[in-house]
Amino acid sequence: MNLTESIKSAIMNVLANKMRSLLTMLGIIIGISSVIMITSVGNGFKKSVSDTFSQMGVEGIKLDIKDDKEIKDSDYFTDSDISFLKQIPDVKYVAPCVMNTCNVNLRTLGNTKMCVVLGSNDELKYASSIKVTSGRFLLSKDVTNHSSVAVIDSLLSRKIFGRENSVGEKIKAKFKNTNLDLTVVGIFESEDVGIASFGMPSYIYVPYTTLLDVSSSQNLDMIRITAYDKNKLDSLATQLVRLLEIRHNTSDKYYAQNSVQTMDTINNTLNMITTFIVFVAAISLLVGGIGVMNIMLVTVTERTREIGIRKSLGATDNNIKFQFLVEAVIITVIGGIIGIIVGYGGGIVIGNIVNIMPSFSINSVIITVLISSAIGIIFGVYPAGKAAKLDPIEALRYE
Amino acid sequence: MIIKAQNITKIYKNGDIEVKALDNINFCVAEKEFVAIMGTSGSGKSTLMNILGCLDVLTSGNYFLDGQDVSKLKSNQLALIRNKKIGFVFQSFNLLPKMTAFQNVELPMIYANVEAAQRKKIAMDALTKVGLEKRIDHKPNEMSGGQRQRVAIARALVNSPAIIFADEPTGNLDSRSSEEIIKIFQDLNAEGKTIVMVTHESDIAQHTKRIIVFKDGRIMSDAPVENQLMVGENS
Repeated sequence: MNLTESIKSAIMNVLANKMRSLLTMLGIIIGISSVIMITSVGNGFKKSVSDTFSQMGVEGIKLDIKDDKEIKDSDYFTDSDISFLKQIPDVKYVAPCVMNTCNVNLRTLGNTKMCVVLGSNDELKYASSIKVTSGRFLLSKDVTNHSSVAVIDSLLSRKIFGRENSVGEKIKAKFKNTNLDLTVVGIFESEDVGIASFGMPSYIYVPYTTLLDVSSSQNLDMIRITAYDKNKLDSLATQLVRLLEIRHNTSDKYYAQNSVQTMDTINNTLNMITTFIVFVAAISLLVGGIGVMNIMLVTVTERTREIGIRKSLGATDNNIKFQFLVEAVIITVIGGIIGIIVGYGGGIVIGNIVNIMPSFSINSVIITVLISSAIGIIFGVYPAGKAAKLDPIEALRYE
Repeated sequence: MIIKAQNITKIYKNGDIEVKALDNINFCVAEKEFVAIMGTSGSGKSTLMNILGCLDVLTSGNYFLDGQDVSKLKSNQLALIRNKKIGFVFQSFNLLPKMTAFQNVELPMIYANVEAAQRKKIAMDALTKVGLEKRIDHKPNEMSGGQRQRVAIARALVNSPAIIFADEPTGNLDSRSSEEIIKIFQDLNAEGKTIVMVTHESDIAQHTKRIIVFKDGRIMSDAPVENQLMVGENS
């Protein structure tokens, strides 16, 4: 008996008991669809993260001060570090980062909103993913002149002025000790980060020299570096940390994080979560498999006489075993295919809700089909073996 | 010789009690014979049928089927023998209920790995031979008992077996259907098929060429039928 005949006969038997077959498949369908749903949304999220990072340029390095160390005043980055770093041959752009917060008046609503003010220079444009939609970004002359200019995101512009393009308007920014009138010179595109945008603060970019003027300290919080060669990122990062330590006559206070590492960290976390949920879903696959075994055992008993007849006509033990194994596999594979469809559908629905484009791959389809066949084989072997071992005379007598 | 039974003994063990179902049976069946095996229930005729049909194994002795010693074969080799050398016709027809007449007849050839096109031709020929060429797509529950048994006979013929074993083939049939079935057997025998049929009805047995009577696991008598009744002559 060849494979085609076995499959034909198996499909016939599966269709003969439609309701029972469907209920048997249900466990497999639920298991497979949840795995597909979770991995597709998870992969979609990973893809959006990596897209964001590739927009930002993966050749970036972030130099920062370790949080868990005792920091002396002399340890902080200063203005002179910027000009020092610019002279290093492998370094393309250097952008300092000073962070502060301020309150701005919302002209439309009459209340105030807290904003994050980021002080930097013109080179930040290349070291981040900022997309200026109207006006301009900070210029180097803004930095040297300590100009009171600001680049704000379009969402904030809409909140303050009621429209997206507010170039030329003035913002009254209230800092802790002082007020600053900032002229809007550019608008950048608000990043659509999906679900993460909810409750995200608004950003205002100003020249870091201007921001330092209204701050109590002259320290820089962070420095962003862009390299000429992204393959040298790791060695360059180590080199820069050492050079800065020598300059500040200190040790073990700084760390460098390159964006590739950051992306890896996010992906690793996400992988862990995905693995955990997939593991939980796998338990439902196990339960589904046991359901398949249960029904197959019932089927074998019900069809004892059929087995006897087939044996009397010349079916070998292996023919019988194969027939029942194929039936189990057909049930689980059909369940798996329905699971794929349901899982993809669910992935699209969830993706729409959390604003992530789920990522589907042909590999996951192949793997799913393989896994469901494996379940069919694993949980079909015992009932099939039981069927094969039946004594033909006993089986023929069975009523 | 199609069947050569030498000292066939079958002992069933039921706990400590041993039951000798067959006690040192010796007999032969030649090609083109039509033999009836008779006996009361418990006489050992069913046990003999199971052993001759390679469904059961004997305890001691030798059994040659179509020249081959099958008494020492393993279950898979016995399956092969059943498939190629034996055609079964049972009292309760033993057709697969979800399959059509055609599919039932095709089944032994599927296990024999006959190609689909050839299967179709042979199955059609066999069904035509038993007069069911217009019923090939009917399922067993859409046919009368006589028709079902004819499907079973067609199924027994398709792998051109060396011998056909019929176990009470008319036991579930009315007299008219019984005659039809016996007629088919007589025609097949006339064409040269070897047939061994178990029956407890002596008038059915009179339609064969030789009657072996069993009692308590032994052969009581073994004699040719003097005046074989032919279906269609008396009625």
